[in-house]
Amino acid sequence: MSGAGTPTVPLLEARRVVKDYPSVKVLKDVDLSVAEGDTLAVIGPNGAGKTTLFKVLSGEVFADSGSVLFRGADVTRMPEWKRVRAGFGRSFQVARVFKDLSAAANVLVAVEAAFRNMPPGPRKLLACDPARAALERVDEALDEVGLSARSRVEAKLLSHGDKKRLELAMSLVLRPTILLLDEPTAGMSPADRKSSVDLIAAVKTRHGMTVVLTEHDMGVVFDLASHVAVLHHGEMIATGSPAEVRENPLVRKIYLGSGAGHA
Amino acid sequence: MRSPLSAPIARDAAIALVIVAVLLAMPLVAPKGLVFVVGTLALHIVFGLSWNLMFGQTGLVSFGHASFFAIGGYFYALVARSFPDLHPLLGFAGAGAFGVVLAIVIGLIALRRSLGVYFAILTLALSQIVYLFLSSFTPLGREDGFTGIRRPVLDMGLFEIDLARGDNYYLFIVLFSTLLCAVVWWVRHSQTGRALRAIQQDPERAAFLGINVAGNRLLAFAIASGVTAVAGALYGPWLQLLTPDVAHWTLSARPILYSLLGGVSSFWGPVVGAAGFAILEYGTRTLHGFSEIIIGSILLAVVLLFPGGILGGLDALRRRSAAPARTAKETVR
Ligand SMILES: Nc1ncnc2c1ncn2[C@@H]1O[C@H](COP(=O)(O)OP(=O)(O)OP(=O)(O)O)[C@@H](O)[C@H]1O
Ligand SMILES: [Mg+2]
Repeated sequence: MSGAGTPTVPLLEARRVVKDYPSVKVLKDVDLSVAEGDTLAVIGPNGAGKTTLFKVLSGEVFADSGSVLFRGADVTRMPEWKRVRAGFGRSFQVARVFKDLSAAANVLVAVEAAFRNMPPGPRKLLACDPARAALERVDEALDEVGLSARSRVEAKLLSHGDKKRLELAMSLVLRPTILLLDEPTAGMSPADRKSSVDLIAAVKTRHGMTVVLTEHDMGVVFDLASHVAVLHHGEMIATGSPAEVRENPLVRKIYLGSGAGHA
Repeated sequence: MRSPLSAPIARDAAIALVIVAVLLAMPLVAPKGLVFVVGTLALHIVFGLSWNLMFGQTGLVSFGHASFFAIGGYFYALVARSFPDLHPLLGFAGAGAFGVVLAIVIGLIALRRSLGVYFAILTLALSQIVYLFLSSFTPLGREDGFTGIRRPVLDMGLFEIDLARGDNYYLFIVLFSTLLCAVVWWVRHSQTGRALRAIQQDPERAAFLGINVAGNRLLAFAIASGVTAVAGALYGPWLQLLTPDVAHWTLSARPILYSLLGGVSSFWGPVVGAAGFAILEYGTRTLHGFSEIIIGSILLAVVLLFPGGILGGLDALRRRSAAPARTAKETVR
């Protein structure tokens, strides 16, 4: 915590990020700043470039120009797996899990990736058994997202909402400093949506993470976000607290008038 | 406490023990010709298993696996001829190390950008280069092959084992192959193996767990190549002759066929596939001209009827018959 007036380095920052695809200019000079502990919601109509921004932030694609800074260090060209090791976690708009593996095996892969420096003991090593601490972490994570009863089910047989939960469990065991969630409640029933919002809020406080998410559902946004950024045709047109953004006349005109949500 | 996530070491060790015991007893009961087929089969099982470590486990398709088998074979033969006093076990290990180093060099170039069918084509091109090199390089015997590869004497410190005597080399091959299969089993079921499986399922997702996808793919390629190079090294003294044909693309097709026939998603798939293939070949060996047609049709039938191979098909049958019981149990919980 710093006193008022002392400038602190944002946890994650995008500076004048440009990303083009052959036929479209997707991101045009996008600036973004996320302070430690924030929950930032990036909102905007379909095709605004939210997912593309997430890809640039997480390293799935690199920006054409501009830079991405993590704790003030330039990570613009750092490959995604190194960013993950540095503290990034990410979920996908359409949940991606290892479909032929059981839910527990999915989480185990994540735990072992995070525990790289914690091999099992020599006897266990020969038998190839996962370390006991790793198995405990798997159970804990599945429990945390409410999937304990489904731990042996192959991931491809899980419901849409459960896949999203499984993905969250996989991200959580990495103990990320910053978690990027692309539409965490897309396609969920209102009940599922409510429980997901509660879950995200709970794990955020428990693990003290910083969260960046995109969302179409304004209810979810105003429940979770401490800050909101509005992306429109690849341009960041407004940023601020939920209340500020809600009152922003430009946002009201462009976004809320488009019928994409309600405030 | 056994977790469902633990490796099935007790079961697999028991299966392996039974198979090894049967193979070791072969010379006592089987005719010489059959013993020769089985010794070759042991090496081909290693060949198939190591290929499937790349394919079934990691998702890499290589069409040039035979080149590493051949490289290991010629490497050992050349070393054994050039340094007759070198311990043969060092020669075999050296062949493996040579295969690993070569795979890393090739992998650093080939695996960088090219995946899927591009990697397959690159490895196919590589095997053609190796084939042409072996057919035209005089010190390696060119088309006539590398002749007079001796079965060595193993100096075990207190005593010596002459592998040229009786069935000694056969027994040696069976035991050494078992060791190589154990190496593949261990990699497959280790933490690294689980990361490889994740890469096979979805490389992008794996990368977002902090897994170094390129590094692990290279590792799988290197291990598979090293293991198969040792199998190739053992093959030379078994035949006492190596011809460029061991690098031919038709040999590279073998581990693919074994894996598809047996099932790519199980460790035992290539073992079952190689054994099935050998049985078919042995059974049809007198039917000149028809052998290929029969083997081909059976392969086609299996792959069409059971996309998961023989073991995949058996698994599906077992699941189907167990399904009602399982649902009942699940609802109780
Ligand atoms: N790989 C790609 N190649 C070409 N164009 C792409 C690619 N990915 C995205 N686009 C285009 O970029 C624009 C922004 O897409 P993006 O997925 O970032 O939007 P979004 O804000 O996440 O939308 P949604 O709310 O529908 O998820 C769209 O016009 C899309 O068609
Ligand atoms: Mg999107």
